[in-house]
Amino acid sequence: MKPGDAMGRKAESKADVLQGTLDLMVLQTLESMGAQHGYAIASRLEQVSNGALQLNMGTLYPALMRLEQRGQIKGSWSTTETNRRARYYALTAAGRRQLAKERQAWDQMAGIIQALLNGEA
Amino acid sequence: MSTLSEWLRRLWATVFPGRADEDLAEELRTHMELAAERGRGEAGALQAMEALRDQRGLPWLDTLMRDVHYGLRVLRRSPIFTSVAILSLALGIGANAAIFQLIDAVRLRSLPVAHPETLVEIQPNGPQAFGSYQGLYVTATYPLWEEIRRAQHAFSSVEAWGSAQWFIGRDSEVAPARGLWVSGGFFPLLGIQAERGRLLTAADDHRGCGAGPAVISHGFWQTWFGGRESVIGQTLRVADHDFTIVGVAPGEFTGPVVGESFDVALPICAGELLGPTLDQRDRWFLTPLARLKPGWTLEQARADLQALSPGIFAATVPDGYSAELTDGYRKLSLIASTGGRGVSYLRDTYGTSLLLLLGLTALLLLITCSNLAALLLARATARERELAVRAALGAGRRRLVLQMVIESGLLAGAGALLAIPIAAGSARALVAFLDTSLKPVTLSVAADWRVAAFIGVTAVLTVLVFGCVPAFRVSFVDGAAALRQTSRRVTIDGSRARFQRVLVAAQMAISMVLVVAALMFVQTFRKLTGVDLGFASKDTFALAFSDPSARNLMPDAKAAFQPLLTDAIRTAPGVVDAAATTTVPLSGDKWSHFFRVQGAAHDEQKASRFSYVSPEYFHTLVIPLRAGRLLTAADDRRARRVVVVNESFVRTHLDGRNPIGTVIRRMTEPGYPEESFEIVGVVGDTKYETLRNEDCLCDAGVAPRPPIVYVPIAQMPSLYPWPPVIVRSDGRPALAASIAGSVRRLNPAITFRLFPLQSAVDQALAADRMTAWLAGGFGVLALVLVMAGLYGLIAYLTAGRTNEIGIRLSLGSTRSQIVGLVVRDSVWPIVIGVAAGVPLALGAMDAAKALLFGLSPADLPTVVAALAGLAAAAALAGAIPAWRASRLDPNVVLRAE
Repeated sequence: MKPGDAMGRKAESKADVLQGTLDLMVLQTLESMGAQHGYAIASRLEQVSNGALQLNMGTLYPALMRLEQRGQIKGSWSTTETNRRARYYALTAAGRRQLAKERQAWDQMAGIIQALLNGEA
Repeated sequence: MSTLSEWLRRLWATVFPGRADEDLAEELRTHMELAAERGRGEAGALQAMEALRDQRGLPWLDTLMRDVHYGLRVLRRSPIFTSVAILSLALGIGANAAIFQLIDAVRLRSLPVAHPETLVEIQPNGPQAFGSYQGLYVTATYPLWEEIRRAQHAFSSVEAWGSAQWFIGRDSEVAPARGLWVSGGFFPLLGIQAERGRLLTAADDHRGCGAGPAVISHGFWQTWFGGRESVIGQTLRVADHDFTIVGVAPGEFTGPVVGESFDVALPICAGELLGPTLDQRDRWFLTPLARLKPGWTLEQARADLQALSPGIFAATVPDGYSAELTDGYRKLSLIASTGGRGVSYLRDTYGTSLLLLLGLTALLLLITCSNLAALLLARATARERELAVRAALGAGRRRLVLQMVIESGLLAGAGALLAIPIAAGSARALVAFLDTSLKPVTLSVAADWRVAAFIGVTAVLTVLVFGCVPAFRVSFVDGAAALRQTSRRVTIDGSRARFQRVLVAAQMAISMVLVVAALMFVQTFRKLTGVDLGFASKDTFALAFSDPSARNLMPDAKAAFQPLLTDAIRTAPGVVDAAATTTVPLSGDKWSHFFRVQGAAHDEQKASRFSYVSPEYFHTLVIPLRAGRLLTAADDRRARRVVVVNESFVRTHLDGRNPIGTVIRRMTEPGYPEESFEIVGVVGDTKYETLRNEDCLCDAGVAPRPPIVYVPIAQMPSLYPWPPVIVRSDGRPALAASIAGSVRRLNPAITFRLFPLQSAVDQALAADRMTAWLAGGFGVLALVLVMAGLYGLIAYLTAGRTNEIGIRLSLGSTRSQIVGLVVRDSVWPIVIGVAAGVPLALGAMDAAKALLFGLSPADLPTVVAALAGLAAAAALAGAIPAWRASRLDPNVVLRAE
């Protein structure tokens, strides 16, 4: 996937459309980086998208809370390397299963779109 | 299922927030600090916080809970209003639920048996054939039942039951017990399982079975055997025969008669031993109950029975029937009806009264609701500023309406909760009303889901009735206007009170119905208690005997022994006089024969009540002689056949001719050969079957007192073991012991049961007493409620006009002018309401006229009295606020702002 500008703007303006994707991104970030606090997750996504994806707090934190309510991640207070208290989120077993499932669904969908676009070209 | 778990967590978090706001805020703060360290500003903390809160719980539920909390706070702030509202709702809903519970128990609920919907009752389509009937619900003889069973196609099985009175125990410990005859397949048919041991089966019920197994009821097991496990296998002596207890029926099964219970169940075959003999074709003591075969409908079963009827009845014609009786019997046809609800004396006797009472309680609840609506409306007006402030702060109209509905719902909910114990208690009290010593009532009125559903639905309906009105009004609150308005209103605006006036008018109309009903039913009861029975019921008792050994006496010995027994009782200390009779008046016994009047212009066959009595009967019951002579001891078996008739008989059947010397011929029927009797005397009329107008077996249909023929009991062709004896005492206590002593000296085997005749009268009055008490109580309540409503309206109107009144007073209005001003407001709604109430009340009474006695459903004095009562109540309710308004001090009023 190649996130473009259009998508970044969309993430800020219409969070609910992004919801499923955002969940996948958060889960994947935690999978690859291990337990992280909210700011680190946001920075990572921004970095990966070359600054295209800037999550505001009002989008990120409710998403984290939603994932936690679904039992896919688990948050707990801890201290950062700079000795600051922060809430760290870690994947749960259910989260891993969910990630695998969503990843597969995404791959399938991307494949379909890809084939469709190629066919059209 | 990730979404479900999210929802559950959010629901949970709505009630118990897991992460406090502070926790959320700290997380956001960390985020912002980290961002700031990287030299980036993060804004939107407030919005983020709001989004988090929304995600944490369920926002709408949270809002709802906050509204509920707010509603609770509002209600707590006015404790008097709240408790009055809750209490009146609880009483209203509770009273309705109590009566519903009773109706449910006697009218709606099925027997506690398997698949009650496929049970079918089978009976002849009447008119009833002649013979001996045992019990209220009997519809078949043993031969008839056997024949139905053999011939029918529609049912998988046809069983039968019958009720009986047995004396159980031995020697001095003999007690009467309620017996139940059951065919072998009866318990299997109903699918009832034994609580202990086993129930009777087809193997137990075969001809010549003798004294075999017996099943006892749960209640009898508890009271008689203390619930001991060792009861199985014990011997139970029933009518001097030893039966073996093989099992205990489950507690919820109290027999096929709703509202009554049984003690002991025996297989029908044991009837050969205890009576009635099975093959007697004129002994009606069974009620057939059948289960439809799968695939058969009730209609198909009816058609089958109809087609088979001629054959079935032809095969079972009782012996000794005259040609006419035989003809009538052969023409009978079998009908089938649903049997799953069982039979019920309660249902037949009190069903209508209960429906009427439910209607009255519903009206009462309606008045309560309208009172509450008025109160809430007044409060809504008083709270206009509060609501306007909330509207101005951004609360939507929907939110405000919801708030009103929530408050009403809270009141109704609390009322419904409180109604549950009230309903349970009242239902038990109602059962106690119907439970008389003569006819004990066993009725389970335990609250079940039906009652809970009833209370729930009633509560929702009350909210709809009284909660919507203020909600509707609130939806028109104009926030800005209400805020602009100062509390210094000169006068209340007319439209606002219009609705209250409509409510008062409606209350008046409904109260009119309730007050008229109260007066009518109290009068009915008074008239019924005042009914002249025609005989002395005070200190008069009836004795029912049991002496199984007497069955073996020869007819002559019976005839000789019966006067000895009556004499022995008469000489017992405390007894003024005693007489034997086949029929105890008002006890439910009925006895009739066909007869012809000899030499009458039309030699038609007529029917009349007959009583076989010993000569002392008239003196014992203080029935006066009007002409001729009374029966004497000389009118015995060998003497000329004579009778005494009552005045009603003379009026109805003798066409004005001189009764003395007239001969009547009793027509043939089983055990009663045709015989001629000469009328030798005429006595006063008495009640026979009920206190109301009763079946006179004559052309008129009903009469206050039916024609009765009194035949010397010595001239009765088939004297059965000891007929009941009626005793008048001198009022001293321990009569039973005194009589027992005398009777035992004669024959220690004889046992008896003694009950006051007054208890038969009480029994006959049970439903009317209940109706009178409740209807009377409801009438008083209606008056109180309507006074409260009216007081509320006038006080509210007056309070709204305080300033106006102050100005008027200071401008020179007199006190009486002020009173007139205040009262004028409420006169029209009262007049209109009462005027509308009169036809309503008359209509209601016309519908209930079967329950009235001694007065017409449009009794004018009653309506006038109700009008006067309501007018007085209205005047009283209006007087206080009017008087208070006239005492206002204009200086104080006008300076108050």
